[in-house]
Order: sequence, then C-alpha cells, then structure tokens
Amino acid sequence: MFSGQTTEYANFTDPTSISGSGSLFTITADAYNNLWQTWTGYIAAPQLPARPANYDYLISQRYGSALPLERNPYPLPGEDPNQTNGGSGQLPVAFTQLREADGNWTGQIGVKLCSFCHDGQLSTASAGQQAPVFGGAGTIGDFTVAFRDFAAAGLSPTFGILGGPLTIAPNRGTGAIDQFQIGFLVFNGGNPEEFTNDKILFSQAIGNIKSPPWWNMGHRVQKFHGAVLPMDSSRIDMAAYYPLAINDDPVAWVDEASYPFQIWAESLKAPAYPGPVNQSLAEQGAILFHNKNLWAASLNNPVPQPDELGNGSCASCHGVYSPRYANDPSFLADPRMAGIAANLVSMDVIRTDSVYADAQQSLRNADGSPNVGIEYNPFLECGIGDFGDTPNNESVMLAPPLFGTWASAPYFHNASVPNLWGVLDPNNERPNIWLRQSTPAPEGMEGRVVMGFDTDINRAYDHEKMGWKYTELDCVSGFPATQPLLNCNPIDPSLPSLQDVLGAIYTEVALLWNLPIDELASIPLVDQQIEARKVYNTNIYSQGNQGHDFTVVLTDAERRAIIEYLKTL
Amino acid sequence: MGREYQWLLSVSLVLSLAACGGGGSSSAANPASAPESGSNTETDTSNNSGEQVLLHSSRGGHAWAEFCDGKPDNSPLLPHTSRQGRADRSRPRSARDRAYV
Repeated sequence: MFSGQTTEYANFTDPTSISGSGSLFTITADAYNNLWQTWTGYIAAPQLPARPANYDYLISQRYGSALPLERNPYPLPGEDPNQTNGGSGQLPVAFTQLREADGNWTGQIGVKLCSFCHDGQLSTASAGQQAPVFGGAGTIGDFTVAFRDFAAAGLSPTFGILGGPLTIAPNRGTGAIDQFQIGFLVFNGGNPEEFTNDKILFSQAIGNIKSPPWWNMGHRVQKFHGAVLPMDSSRIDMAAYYPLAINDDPVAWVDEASYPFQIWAESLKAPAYPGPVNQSLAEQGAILFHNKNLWAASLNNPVPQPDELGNGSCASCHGVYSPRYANDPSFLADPRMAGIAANLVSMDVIRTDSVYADAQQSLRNADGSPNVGIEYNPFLECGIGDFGDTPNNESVMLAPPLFGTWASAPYFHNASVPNLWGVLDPNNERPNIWLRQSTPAPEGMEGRVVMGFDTDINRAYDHEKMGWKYTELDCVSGFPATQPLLNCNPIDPSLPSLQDVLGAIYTEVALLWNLPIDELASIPLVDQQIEARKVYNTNIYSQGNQGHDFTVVLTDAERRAIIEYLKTL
Repeated sequence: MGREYQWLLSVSLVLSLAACGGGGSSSAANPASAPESGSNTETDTSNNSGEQVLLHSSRGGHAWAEFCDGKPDNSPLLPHTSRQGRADRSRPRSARDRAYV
C-alpha cells in the first residue's frame, strides 16, 4: 500500500532503505510467521504456546480476510521461497508476497488494503466451501487488528500508527473508508498549503461507513455513497496504492494501473442467492417493488412526499429490474437502462444518519463553490460528483442499485441495520447495540483465539429477514464493549451520553475523530478489545440506524414478498 | 465543421479503433455466483406467451464486459444506435443531471 512498487520495500532495521521508493507497509515472512506470538489470548493459555497447526485459517479469521481458492503463497519457517515456489503457506486475499522483476520471491509480505473493506466471504462450512467474494459481501475485515499485529511482530512504526493510535476503522467491517480530509492532505499535489486550508481543518468528519459492492459499478453513474465522483474517475481506485515515496511521476503510475483495475471491478457479478426462492411470492414482490406507491393518499406516509416522486415505488430510487417493466416505456425509455440507479436523494427524504452527507457538504463554501483543494488533488481530474452541485449545499445520498442485496448485509451506508427486514420496517429489527455472530472456534481453542464474523450462510444467515444473525446487547450488561456513559446511556438508551458531546466536536474539527478518544474498549491491545470491535453501537457518531422510514406503510406480507424478490437480483 | 459532425466523427473514430481487447475483456463472476444469463439486451426474457417475465437479473456487472466476454480482442464493438438519453451539453449541468426525489 502507498507504493507503486511491487518489488521494493523499506526495511526499518536498515535506515538506508527507508529513503528509497519501496513500500513502508510490508513485513518479512519471518515476522509473519511469528504473528501468533502477539495474540494475547493464545499465548496466555496454560498450554505451552507454539505456532498453531491451523495458523493460516486463524489469521484469516482474526483479520477477516478470506483464504483464496488459488495459491497465494508465503514461506513457512525454514522454507526458501525460491526453492518452494513461494512457499507452502497460504496468505489471505488481503496480503501478497512481493516478487522481483525476474519472478524471484522476496519473502516480503505486502498489504492489499482495498481488499480488507471490499472483499468478503460466503461459505457453507458444512460443504467444505469457504469461497472469497471479490468486490462485495464484505464488512468483515479488520485491518486495524492486522496492522497492530504486524507492528508488534515486524517492529514497524508505520503499521503501528494505523494499528490503534490513529483511528481509521474503529469497528470490524467498517471504517472511514473515504475520509475526504485525509485525502486532501495526503494527495495534495505538492501543495503544503492544504495543511492550513480551513475548509479541511474545520469541516465535518465522515465517521464510519461500509464499502458499496463493486458489482454495482457498471449500473451506477457516480462513485461512493454520496455521489462523490463520476464513475469514470478511475484514479481514485488506486488511492491506497498512490506512491508516496517516489520522486517520479506518481500520477502516471496511477493512470497506468487504475483503468485496468476499474474495468475488472466493473465486470464483477453479484453472487446468486444460494437458497430456494418462492417464485410466486417473489413475483408478487416484483410487482410491489416496481408499482406500490408508498405515498398513496390512503397510506398517510409520515415522511413528507418527495418533490419528484416518480411512481412512488422502490424502483423510483433503486432502478427497474424486471424485464416486464424494463421493457415498458412508461418505466424506462430504453430497456438497456435496467438496473441503473442514479437518483440523488435529499436527506430530507431518506433520513438515514446524515453525518456522511453533511460532511461532504461541509467541504463546500457557503456560496456552493467547491473547496479550493480540488484544484491540487490528482484524483479529482474528472471533477466532483453531483453532491457538489446541490442547491443551498443540500445534503444528499445516491440510491444504490440492488444487485446482490442479499449478500450485502448489514444495510445502509453505515452498516447500522443487520437485516433487510429492518430496512423495510423502521419500527422493528433496528437494534440499538448489536453483535454479529462469530465463526465457532476450532475445538480446543475456544476463548483462546479471535474468530471473524461467521459467513456461513447455513449457520449464520437469517434467510427470512435477509441478513446476518445478531444478538442485541444492553448498555449495562454489555459492559465493557458498550462503554456505558461514554457511548450509551445506562438509564435510558434514548437519553444522551458523552458521545453526543464528542459528536458535536467531530462535526466541527474532522481530524479529531481520528484520535481514539471514544474507543477505550476497542483499541486492539488485547484480544478482549479486539472482540469488542465486533459490537455495533448505533449511539456512536455517524452510526445511527434511523431513516428509510417511508417503508413504515408496508404490511408484513408486502415486506416478505419484496425480500423474496430481492433474493432474485 | 458543425458540432453535430464533430460528434459523428468522434463516434466513428471510437468505433473504428475500439475493440474488446482495450482494457481486459473477460467478465469475472464471483465463485458463489451463477449468473443465469447474460446481459438484459441479449437474453430472451419473455415467457411462453410472449409476455416479459417478472423475475430476471443480470446480477450487475457491466454491459461492455458482457459483450466482450469470450470474444477475441479484435472484435468490433456494436455501432451506436441511439442518441436517446445522451446528455444535452448545452444545458446547465444542474438542470440536466439532477434527479431528486
């Protein structure tokens, strides 16, 4: 990461290597083989600790990155990678062993940062399948924990900074994935005045979000949850690999790499729902999805009617999918527009947590003009998206296409609602504090190792409500992970906590969000804190689970039908 | 040369130069995916009575990836058959793009 070099790396035990062009974010295979020595639960057990036999599997679980079906080798202790075709260990998809130009293996392991947030896993353990899913079904990775381990085992200060002291991702599965302020500062085009730009320093933090699936990229006209960039702005795809260290032309490297990447990402397909589908019920759902006017007079929808309603159905925002309607000129002018979702929705209508959308607007000037920083930022060569063109700096979000919705839980841009029933029923299935199910630990390792979110669709998936199974936690009984008083009110969940004060500060000074002020329970020092990172607390800044509440007018029968239909997309 | 002719010339050049090998052409399905069919435009989505079906999905992806999948790199691209939906660049951006609900 942050290097265009796939062959060079800086070694912190050799200061002369640090000024070179190599990545600052790699560790040796020797250090990788010793990561287990930093796992506090494992080494504290009464048994004499040794490198676990199922080490690769445990790493995959601890960091939330799937093991690929193809070889992704690293050398085991004592192995020469060039005598063993890279080695006989298997890395998860988020890591890769660097190779020299002549193909020789370096024994140095680098990070594919994007993979942590964007790649996922769907598995049927009973069938022995644990397939990674590229570009979606994510919200399982925790690179902060991986970096904490890498820092400790590899004595790497760069991993150390991002492994806890500087917050980028406070929870497992989510993070400040497109934090605009850091983007402007890091990618400033050589203009240090960005560090004194008051629109950067005194703007709003975007907080915590999840990554939208890449399999929708070919059906949406703009990137990111909030219409931040045109879809053909491919440079941004390489942001995590922007070569910070080289003196050559880093933008040229980005241009060379980003276009092929975007072509690949756009070609990805959503996985098909693996369970049975009630065809008749799904057809009823398709009719409702495309036709039911949620603002029909008889329904008395409590949410104000949008200015431009369309036919008031789900399809009005999320696109038309059924061939019957895609080929009906009253729905689409051209059936090739099927599945395209391009509606920019006012936050006055969607009413989900507004932090992300408000933060975008905080970067605009009062007259609506964009922050001057866009002139320096190489990733904005194609201009900015339509968020920068709203009247009166109105906050907006982009309604996403719904391909592979079944594999995209938890829902909303901030992953605050665990299943789709909750999306369609604002009065139910909106837990205040909740914990997603973990993969069962291997026999004999219960309580000794950190397991990832369970992605077994037979064991951990709620097929009726469409989403991952969860347990609701109480503010008090969930201590310490819930952090009573700081992140929830132990008397009444609806009453304020200190988090509300912090939120007011994050609204004014974005970068303060990156300090681990309110993550005492989840800074990944020991395994108990790493477990606490699995808890989703909707009281925390940017993590609210409100909104999309115009669906309150649906009946339960209609919700069941729409969910069944969405399984087919 | 008028703007209309410049546009036609641009389209002709693109069609004559572009092909499926431009930037990697194979669509990539995730391991768990089993797309039932290709693009909406190439698939028969009608039932026995000729009526369009209610249930069908392209599962996302990209139209060009589907078109190029399995074709040689030098395959010619489809001619542009419709200008419907092409943005009118003479209108202000805010007027042509905004689609609030």
